[in-house]
Amino acid sequence: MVERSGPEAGLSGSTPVAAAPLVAVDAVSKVFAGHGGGAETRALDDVSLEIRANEFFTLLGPSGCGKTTLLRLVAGFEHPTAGTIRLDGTDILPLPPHRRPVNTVFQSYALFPHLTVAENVAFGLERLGRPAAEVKDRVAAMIALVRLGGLERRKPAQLSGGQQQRVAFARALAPAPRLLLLDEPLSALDLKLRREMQGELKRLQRETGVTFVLVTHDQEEALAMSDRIAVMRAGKVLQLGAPAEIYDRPATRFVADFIGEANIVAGARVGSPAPFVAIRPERTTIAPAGAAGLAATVTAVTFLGSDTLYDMELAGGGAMRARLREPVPGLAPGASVTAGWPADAARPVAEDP
Amino acid sequence: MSAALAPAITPAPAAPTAPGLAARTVTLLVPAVAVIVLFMVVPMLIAAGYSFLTAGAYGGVRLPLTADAYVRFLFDRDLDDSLIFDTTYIGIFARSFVLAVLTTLFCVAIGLPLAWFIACRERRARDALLLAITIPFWTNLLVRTYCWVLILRDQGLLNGALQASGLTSAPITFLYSNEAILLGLVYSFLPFMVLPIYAVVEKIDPRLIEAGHDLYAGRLAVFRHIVWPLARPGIAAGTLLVFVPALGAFLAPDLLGGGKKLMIGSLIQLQFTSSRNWPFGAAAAMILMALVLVGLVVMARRRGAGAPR
Ligand SMILES: Nc1ncnc2c1ncn2[C@@H]1O[C@H](COP(=O)(O)OP(=O)(O)OP(=O)(O)O)[C@@H](O)[C@H]1O
Ligand SMILES: [Mg+2]
Repeated sequence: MVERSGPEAGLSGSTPVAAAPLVAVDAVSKVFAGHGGGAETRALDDVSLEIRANEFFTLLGPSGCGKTTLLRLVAGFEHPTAGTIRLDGTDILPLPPHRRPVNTVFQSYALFPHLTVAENVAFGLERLGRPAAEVKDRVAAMIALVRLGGLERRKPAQLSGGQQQRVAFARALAPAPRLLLLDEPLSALDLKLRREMQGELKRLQRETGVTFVLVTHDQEEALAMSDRIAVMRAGKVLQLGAPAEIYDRPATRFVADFIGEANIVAGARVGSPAPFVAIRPERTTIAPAGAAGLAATVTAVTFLGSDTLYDMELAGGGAMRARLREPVPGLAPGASVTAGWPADAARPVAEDP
Repeated sequence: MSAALAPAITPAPAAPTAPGLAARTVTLLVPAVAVIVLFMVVPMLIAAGYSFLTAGAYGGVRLPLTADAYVRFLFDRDLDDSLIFDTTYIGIFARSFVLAVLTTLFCVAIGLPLAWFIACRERRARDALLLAITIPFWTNLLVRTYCWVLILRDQGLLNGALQASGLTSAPITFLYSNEAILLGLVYSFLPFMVLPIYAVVEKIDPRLIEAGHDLYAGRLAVFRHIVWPLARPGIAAGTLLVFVPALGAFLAPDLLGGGKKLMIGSLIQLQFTSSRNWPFGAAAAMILMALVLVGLVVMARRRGAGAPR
């Protein structure tokens, strides 16, 4: 009965954040058997995380880290090898996908080619057995929400990529799911449209109050849109937190390097007890040779307009990059310098698990 | 050296002018047109011609020209040579039509789920099942239809099994009924329904099915609202491949219907063999073809009207 008990997310404001998490993923692992004697793949390795009601949650990580697998487990298309997934405190693993109050926006949109825009949007509501009048109103509201008025009777093939994208959003939002899963929904769009749709997505989340779980491997997209981000690598969650928190205090070496740019230096070399320290290039300074810091040689200078990049090779091995607002006059490749940073710029980070 | 260069300095062939192009197009079309004329138009013209001739005493045809064959289709000649409306042949056409429609319906009812089932299997199982569907083609249809006689007859396998299991005490007569003919027809033509449907459903994007489940459709709802509409072109092709030959079939009605329940195909076949009335056989064939053509045109019209612009 879960499918019908979902509260209407409506178009009104947001509900107050509940103390209990909306989704609780607990110690979930997923192992895919190898094909034809091939090695098995551990797509998810003991993942635990909680998603709060009404938040914009992002799974961020490089290709193959298990983001899609985690979404498919929540949607019900795959079954975990171990662990539990709870929604509103109820174990949803026994439920087939069509009984979970969760909808998905597929990367390729997967719009039904034989149905019109309006019929696509109505699909979920009709399967739920909602009365025709309600379906009609809800479809009209959704089409207005994604700003597709006038295109109701078109077939998907008669729409542009961006318009198809909007239909996919409307179709998934129409049944007012407890949770909306979005698997790289913007990756098929060109850069300009992509930036525009990022704003749209944020607006849709605000206006519907539905909890969004977005999958992306674009860290800029993740930082710009999310309330919280889970950074994943090789089937594990390395860090979970608000964008600023992850950017300012990366937990591991990989997170520091994947979110923005970072110079990673072994802790021992700079007198830190941590295995590594991470220093953002924009906080790295360049001083004349012999000053306090790490001795380095400039290898490349790149003028970017607003900033100038200085790539350096450290005397003890390793590379470092500084991003300076004001170029240093006369500093050319080959020059001996000292790389430094303010004390608070060096963030201790752990080795990756 | 100059000899070797010679080909290089011959002028390139001029670009084909419009009339030249047209001539070439015609030349290229000749083989296809010749095949169609030779194997389709000529036999049909011969059949049409025969249907307007008089039957020879020992088969064959002779002059004079007459429309008697067509008249005979609808009327019987009374003793005083007056024409009486006769429904015998219309009845045969009607039964053929009903049987062909039923055959098509059964083939869709079995073929669509079967094709979908095969399309949902793993690669290797799929190939094996498809092979299994085509295996019957390796044996002659006559032999396969006769096998049904062996199964269905009074002392056949089915009755044997029923009696051995104690379900019945006396043999049940299965053979020589419309049901037996229908069974034979469905059996013969099922692969022609399964294969075109499979070709279409196999291409359905599995993500559409997932999207259906995601949007609260169970298996049945996915089948009805997604698979069925997307499979329609395959069903249309299969219907054509099953309905038309089923309408003209003569093996199943002959063997399983005992030659008493005539279908158009067996009627036509009889005219060229034991009845020795070639003109009437040819006329029946022409009428059958006309009916099928009308049906096809109507179907094409309807599909043309239903297609999105
Ligand atoms: N059905 C499957 N069978 C076998 N292995 C699979 C299957 N699905 C995913 N995998 C493997 O699991 C791992 C994680 O895959 P997943 O699709 O979750 O990655 P992802 O993070 O979504 O990557 P991307 O950003 O490229 O989409 C990969 O190594 C992949 O090869
Ligand atoms: Mg993926």
